[in-house]
Amino acid sequence: MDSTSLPAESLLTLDIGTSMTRATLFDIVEDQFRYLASGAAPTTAFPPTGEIRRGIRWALDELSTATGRQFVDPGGRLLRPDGQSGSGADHISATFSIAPPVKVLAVGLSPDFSLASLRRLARSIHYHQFETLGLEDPRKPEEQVDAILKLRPDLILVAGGSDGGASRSLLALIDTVSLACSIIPESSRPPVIFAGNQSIQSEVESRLGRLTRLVVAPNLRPQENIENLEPAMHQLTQLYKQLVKQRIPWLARLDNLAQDKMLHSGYALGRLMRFLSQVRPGRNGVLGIDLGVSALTVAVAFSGGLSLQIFPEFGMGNQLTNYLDITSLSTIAGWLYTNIPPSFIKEYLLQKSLYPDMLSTTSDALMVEQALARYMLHSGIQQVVAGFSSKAVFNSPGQLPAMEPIFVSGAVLAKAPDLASCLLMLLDGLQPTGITTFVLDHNLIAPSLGAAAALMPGQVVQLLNSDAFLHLATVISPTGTARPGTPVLRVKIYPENDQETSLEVRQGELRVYPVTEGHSARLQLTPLQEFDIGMGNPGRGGSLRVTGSKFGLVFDARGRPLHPPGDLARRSDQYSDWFSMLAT
Amino acid sequence: MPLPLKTFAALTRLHRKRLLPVPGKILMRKGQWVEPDDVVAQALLEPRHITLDIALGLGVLEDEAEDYLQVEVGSLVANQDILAGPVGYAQRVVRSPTDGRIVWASAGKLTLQVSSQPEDIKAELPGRVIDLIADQGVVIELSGSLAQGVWGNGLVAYGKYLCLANEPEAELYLSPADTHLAGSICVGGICSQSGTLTVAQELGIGGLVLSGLEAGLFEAAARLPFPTVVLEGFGRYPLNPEVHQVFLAHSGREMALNAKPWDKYTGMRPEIIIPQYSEETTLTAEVLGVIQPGQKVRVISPQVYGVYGILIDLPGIHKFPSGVLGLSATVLLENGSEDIVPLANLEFTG
Repeated sequence: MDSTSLPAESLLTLDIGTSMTRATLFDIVEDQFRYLASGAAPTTAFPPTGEIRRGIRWALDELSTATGRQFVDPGGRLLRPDGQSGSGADHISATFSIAPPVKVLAVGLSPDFSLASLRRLARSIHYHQFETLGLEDPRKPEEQVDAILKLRPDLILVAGGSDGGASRSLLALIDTVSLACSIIPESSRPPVIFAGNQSIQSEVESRLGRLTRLVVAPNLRPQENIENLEPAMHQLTQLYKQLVKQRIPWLARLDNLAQDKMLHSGYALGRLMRFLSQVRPGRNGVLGIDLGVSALTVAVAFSGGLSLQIFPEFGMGNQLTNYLDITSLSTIAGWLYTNIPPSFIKEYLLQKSLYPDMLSTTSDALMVEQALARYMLHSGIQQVVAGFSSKAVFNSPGQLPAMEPIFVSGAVLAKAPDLASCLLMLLDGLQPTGITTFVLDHNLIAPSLGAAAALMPGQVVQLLNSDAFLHLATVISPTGTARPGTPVLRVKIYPENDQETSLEVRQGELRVYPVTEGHSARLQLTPLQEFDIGMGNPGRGGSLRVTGSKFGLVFDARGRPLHPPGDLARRSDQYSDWFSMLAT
Repeated sequence: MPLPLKTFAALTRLHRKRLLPVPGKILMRKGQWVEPDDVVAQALLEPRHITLDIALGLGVLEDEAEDYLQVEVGSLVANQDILAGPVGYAQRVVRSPTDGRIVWASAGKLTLQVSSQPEDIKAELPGRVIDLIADQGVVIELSGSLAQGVWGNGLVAYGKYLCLANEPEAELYLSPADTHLAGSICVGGICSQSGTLTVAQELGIGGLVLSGLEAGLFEAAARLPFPTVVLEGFGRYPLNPEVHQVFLAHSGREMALNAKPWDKYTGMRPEIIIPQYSEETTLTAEVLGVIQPGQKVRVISPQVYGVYGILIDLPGIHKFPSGVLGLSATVLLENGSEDIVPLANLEFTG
């Protein structure tokens, strides 16, 4: 997009997180739309404050201190630009990730089809409890009604049947839902999204439409082997926003300020990934990861199609008490590179579950935090791999398919004490395959830009190419089978304005070749031993142009899946080698 | 900028809500005095339903069944009451199989909500009902000492307590011979032995208040059949000396022990209230701990976790031993030493 055509307009984004509220200013500087500064303060949505306004005010005060601009008048109202004082901002976008407990009831026919699709659909919001009612449910209808009344769902999702297909079984389940809704007091009835067989839409409306708010979305599975979640996902996130606004009334006012375009942060990250996949179309998907206190968000976009999965169970906060059993502790310890007793890990998990924003001030605490981040990233990716789009190109079965780029956000990554440990957490946790680039959202602005992308697309494109994001590395991960030490990739590097270099990458090693920011290089890649580097087929190589980044080129031939040595001493030695390789 | 708030007050006036999870019936009047075991509200939390096929029972078509109904939605019915009919020569009828209320009638079927015992919401503490919240519950006011904790196992109790910790740093030991503790709430210090929890169960104590709990005992504490609250954290954390003084001073009196988990959405923490009947106390102000020198804080960093101190300076961004950068605060700790800690690792105590 032509940058010169961009209007000189500023953008203020407000992100209401579970623990922190962040205000960020973007504006035109020297004809470029740029990130200027952020201000952050604890979120005050919950008692004893109970209103988000104070946290926003404090975050704006910090932003004012950083930028010298005023954003609120003495009465606390947001200022609009007056063209003279430089106060206020032209546009406001808002995101939220505070997530009051939400219970979802999914009603569908078969566990493997409609109910599985509904679970994936529900993953696009931040739910706390998910129950199902299906054809194979052995309970009598009145027992099912009792179960619904006991659950007291906040949302009911219904799907099942291909368009024009069988309908009787689904209508029987809808009758049960209808009966339960009629018994629930009118003011507490949950809204229902129907995304099943479209030929029974009028019957569904006659059964549920008069009882509760009914939203009809396109069928999740118009045909048995075709899944189409995205239209229903949009409807669901809108309904979820309404629900959260009812629980946290100040969010409704914030939504008004954002012209009713406030988005849940997870969905906003997904929108940014989808936007990116549209402006930079390619063979591979675009991956966005946000490892936050309340959840791990994984957003994947292929040519404008979005898959979004939010995992509260893999958040770095309150859910950590779920990992206190011996198996989980031992798995987390398997990602540690120093000797830390399980009792310390357990104590750390308990404290972190109470105080998710606590900073790790000691090296042991930091090691546990980073091991936990690896574990959460790896667990989340393992969950989503099976559900990737049919467009995904798998270089190694069961592993992360080819992604370009991978955007990463979240405090544990962005605020890591050094970039080497940040990149190692990502490589260990995500285990990319083929060729990808890692982009770090070190300013924690990605969701905010996802919310602004529809409003200011040209400006967002400029920001994506600016230093608002940190381009960490181009990572080449050959996959295949070979003994450690066997050469698996031959590389010729033709740096811009520099001498040609050759190097050989051996199985088991992690290597770095610097291509600094502002420079570029052409690569000639020749995989050996029939290794796959994501250029079409195993053993197939080719040439590639790469742009500079913090680390430049990183060759990760440590194997997929990565198996860190079980022996701690060996693991520690290896980690030291890898860390030194990146740190230098 | 605020800090998380962990409240301790030697004497204060408190308001506590007792709410039903679903709409129900309030049983108290405004101004009424309540005792801990008094039921303040009731609701059917888990109603049970029966669906009766009227058309089948009468031997008529679905759309004819409605003409024979003797009851309508909302009707209360008793066991064996006629719901529909009579029909035909045989005078067929459908009778109610139980006491209940008709909640649904359609397509030749009736759904009956079976009468069952409603669930009670108790006051859980002594005080005066100062407000009624329509269909939901009551607000109770009382005076007393308040100490909030960080973790609870979900149960509640009210009863006599005994402070077994002679010092804030005391470790709790219980012996099978301590039979005088049966039924009492025990206030200990640190618990690091699983045997202590086992003996506590065998003795049949009424509740447990700990300053620190060894992390390895978390699951055992979560399963205890009596309410258990951890005040300071998981590890060897001593009692706040001021809280300890209050526990000692009132040992032998009654305590409301609320071990419901810390809920950040409602702001409720596990807490202990020792009621004291005073008319002169002021209401606990729900203030924010605005960061400024002179403020009393509690450090939640590893190594100095649970230590109290006074914030004396805000030096800005600091690099901590782990290499992590963060906004910092200089804190004068209880032992007289100064430490620089991340602002994020401080908790306001008031």
